[in-house]
Amino acid sequence: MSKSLRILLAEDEYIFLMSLKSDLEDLGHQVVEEALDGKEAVELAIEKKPDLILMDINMPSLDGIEAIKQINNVLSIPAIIITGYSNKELVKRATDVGIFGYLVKPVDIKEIGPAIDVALTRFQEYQAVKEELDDTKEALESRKYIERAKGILMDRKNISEPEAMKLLQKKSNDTNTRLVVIAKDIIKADEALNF
Amino acid sequence: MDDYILEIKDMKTDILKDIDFDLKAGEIHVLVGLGESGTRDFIRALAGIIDVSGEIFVKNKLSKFNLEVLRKDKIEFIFEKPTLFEDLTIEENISLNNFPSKKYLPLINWKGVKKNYEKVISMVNIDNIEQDTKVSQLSTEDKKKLAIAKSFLTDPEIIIMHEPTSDLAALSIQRLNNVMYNFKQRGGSVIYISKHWEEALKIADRISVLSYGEIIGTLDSKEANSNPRKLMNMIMGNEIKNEKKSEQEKENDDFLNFLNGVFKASELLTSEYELKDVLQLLAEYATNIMKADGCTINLIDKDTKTIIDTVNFTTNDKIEAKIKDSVIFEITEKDNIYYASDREKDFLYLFESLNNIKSIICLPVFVRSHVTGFIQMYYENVYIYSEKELLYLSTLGRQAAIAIEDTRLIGRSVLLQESHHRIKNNLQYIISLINLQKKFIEKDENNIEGILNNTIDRIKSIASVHDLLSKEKLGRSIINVKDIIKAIVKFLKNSKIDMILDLNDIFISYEKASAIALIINELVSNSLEHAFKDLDTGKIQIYCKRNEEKIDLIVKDNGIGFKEDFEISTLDSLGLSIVHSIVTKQFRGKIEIISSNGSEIHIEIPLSI
Repeated sequence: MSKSLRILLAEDEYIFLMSLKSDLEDLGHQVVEEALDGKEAVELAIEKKPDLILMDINMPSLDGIEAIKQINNVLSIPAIIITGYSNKELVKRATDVGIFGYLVKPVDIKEIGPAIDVALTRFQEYQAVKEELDDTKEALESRKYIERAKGILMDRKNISEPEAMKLLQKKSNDTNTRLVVIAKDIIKADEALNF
Repeated sequence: MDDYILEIKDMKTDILKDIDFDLKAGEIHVLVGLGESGTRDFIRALAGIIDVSGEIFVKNKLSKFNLEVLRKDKIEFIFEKPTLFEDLTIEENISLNNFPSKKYLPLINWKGVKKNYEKVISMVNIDNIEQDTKVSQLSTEDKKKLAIAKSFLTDPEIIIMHEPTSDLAALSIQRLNNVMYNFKQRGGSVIYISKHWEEALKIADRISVLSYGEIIGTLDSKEANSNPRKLMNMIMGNEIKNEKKSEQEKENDDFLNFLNGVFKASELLTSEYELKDVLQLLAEYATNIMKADGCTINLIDKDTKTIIDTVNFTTNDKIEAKIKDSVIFEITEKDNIYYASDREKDFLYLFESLNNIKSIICLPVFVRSHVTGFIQMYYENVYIYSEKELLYLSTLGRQAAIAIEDTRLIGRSVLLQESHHRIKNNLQYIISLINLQKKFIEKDENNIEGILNNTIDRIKSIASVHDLLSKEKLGRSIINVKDIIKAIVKFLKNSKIDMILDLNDIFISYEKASAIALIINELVSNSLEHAFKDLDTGKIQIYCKRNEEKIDLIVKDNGIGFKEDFEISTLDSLGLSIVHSIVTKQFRGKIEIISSNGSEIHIEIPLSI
């Protein structure tokens, strides 16, 4: 990956932070912020909106996973955690929160590059899937409204389903409004009339 | 009239006033006196070593206050510090007093000497030492035993001893008591002069109390044993407190209270409470059970003479008693219950601050025969404890010890879990250092060896932290910065340069220790490598002391100083930039460089992180 990323590093052992920073810079990235505890990490992430976060799991004031959870409530930033432990429970907690990779101490310099690549790729896929999901949700919602509107038309005008659909589409084309908006209007009108 | 084998009438010295004292045949009469009551003068007066007036009767015949004269009356003396001829052997010393002579010829009966020697030596059990060992080669305890043996050897009828148990271990004291008992059975009599009233209670037939030069009373053994408080009151010169309940009822109440306290404490010890909470509650119970007005428990480190932590409990806030740290450590040297009241002249000097307290009882707390804690009970009035209360206090002391030991053990097992984590962390640390170092190799290609040596030193300084941890006798995860500095200076030093250390004991957590070790290593290495080029000798001074909530660290050398445009925050020198980063970013401390007459680096690290 050749793109240069703006990275937030969160690590309480400063020597390690210095070493990581140096490696990241060698890889062509830019460490825009350094945090020495969880709280600071959250504040800086929200403020500076980096492209990537590298965070140690074991930090004072707030642990790594919690911190990332809090950040993700506000912003969507890919994160890689660095940990001394590697156990199933930890992995599960991490994935639940939206972490896209983890490195186990002692960290081999050669692993950092690939870990970043993988994390970014996963993140992008995740964003894409999320978008698709949102779209799908929206489509599903729209579908519901349209079906309801069709039903109303069929009742009131005593027409068949295909005829009702044609009516809706015509209205949509004529007024240059989306189908779902027309459908919602019909539903509203129906509710008003029934009242 | 009673049949007294020895009678003293109107004995007077500078300190002693009109002493009347008597001794029956086959009796052990103990003379108890604390501090400056005059016990030492008593024996010295009898031996005639100091000026004395009065009369002494042996078997109803007037005799003299004189050691030699009394010896002829079959009275032997055992002084606190034995009088032996250091250059002669054990056997010779024993024989000196009393060469058994053959009946008609005034020649030394060596066989007799040997026989007596063996009899007595086995009696006091120094028989694992050769009889031709020179006395100067014996231990203090063995010398005392020898002196005691010598006295018994002459087959006296009366023995006068002063502090016979000083310098003796518990087992030997037991043997001495047996020897005295046998002596008594054979009709011997003993005057036993000591400040240890507890010992007196065990062996005496009669106890007389010497106080400020006067004999203020005599109790017989039965009376004294059933009511040691009465004896104590006499020794302290106090009136008995008035009690409304019967003695028995009060004792029962006390005991129930005590048991309750013990159970509660045991409950706590098996709970998840923090050590400090457990000790706080123990302090409260102790105050209750010991009928005190306050209690303080300290956690101490005897080796560095520092107080690690303190818990306090008082029944009202008008009282205060803070014993001086130095006094605490003095008391722990003696390993005994320590009692003091304001009737003693030096009472006030024991304290840093004192308010409304008139007496104290202190007890060192042992964990695996290591003094690790200190309990102080204090009283608004002059309080005399009974033997039972002493027992309660000792038990509370043991509970405190268990609490402390428990925490240490739990700490240990958690540590085992954590040790993998720590190892990984340390390895990561080392890898980071080497990684950072790699970036500098291009700049300094010709000095690969130097660079590698630097790396080795860095790793050694981290290793020294673990070395110190492993040597921590009580298994605590705290490290003394002073020890870190000394360890690092040891492996860095070089013969041309003098290292001058001015350090205090400062205890820090494990987490901080590695970083601090690294800082020290960098600063000292830097001076050694760069400050003294072209100079034959030099001096590096390291100052590290606690200054309220900060550590002040100064590393100073009298070398060539820094270059004018030296900027510590740039990566010109890896070592110093590491120091700068750790101090300012990790510890949020301060660092300053002064370059005059060499270089001086002044670092402040807050302790609160």
